[in-house]
Amino acid sequence: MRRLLVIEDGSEYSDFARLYLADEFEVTTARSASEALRMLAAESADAFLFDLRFDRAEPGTLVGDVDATARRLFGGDRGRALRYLQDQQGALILAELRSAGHAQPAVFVHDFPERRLANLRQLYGSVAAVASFDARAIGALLSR
Amino acid sequence: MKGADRSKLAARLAHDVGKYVARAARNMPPRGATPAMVAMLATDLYSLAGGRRASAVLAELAGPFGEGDERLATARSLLEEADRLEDRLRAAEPAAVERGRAIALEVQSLVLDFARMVASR
Repeated sequence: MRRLLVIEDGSEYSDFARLYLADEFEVTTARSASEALRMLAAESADAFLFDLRFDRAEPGTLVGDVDATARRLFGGDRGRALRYLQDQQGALILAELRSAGHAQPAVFVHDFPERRLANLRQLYGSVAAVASFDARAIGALLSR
Repeated sequence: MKGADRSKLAARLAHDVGKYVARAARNMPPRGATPAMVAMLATDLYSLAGGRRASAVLAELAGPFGEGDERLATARSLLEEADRLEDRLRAAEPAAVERGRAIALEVQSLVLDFARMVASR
């Protein structure tokens, strides 16, 4: 059976995948970039299912430096920088995985504007998105 | 509310309610749902992230947009109806499960449509 690595800060995606994608995938879950990389070093995956927002994650586990982001983008405002990193965390983790050589298909459940999705594809290769938890559509995208 | 703030709030509404409220409803059959599917539908309607009802999350995030948008007003009304179904839905009464499923799908459509409208302005 193919392996699906779910990357999220809660359990909504994993619960969904175990209920609706279990015929196609063995599901494992990582809650941060470092955990995903550790798991992938131990055993590869065939596809990734990403959450985008990580507003429940411990700030110390996020990809990105809050202080540097605050200085670079938000005039030193750490609160806004943290929210930015939380809101974009799935994409930032994807960047980390791609940098480490993990090129598997990645699917987000998020209503991205088309221009943003095109940008993600340009940067990170096989990236797709669906606006809702549609198991049939997600399964098809993960299997490309 | 400024345009950028409206867009951010609408995006959060689409994420926190629009995406999660129909996680089960989008995939379960109209009839013959398994207990696990019904349990997930109940979670989506009555215990979103943080354990809050979808109706409460919608009320909080849609509040700043006021009462004027018909989509949000309809979504509020539908989720209030879903709250009244809770005991029957959790007991897997078929009519309540089917109505809860239909409500979740309709609310998702309304909220995502509203968020797209805000983002396009």
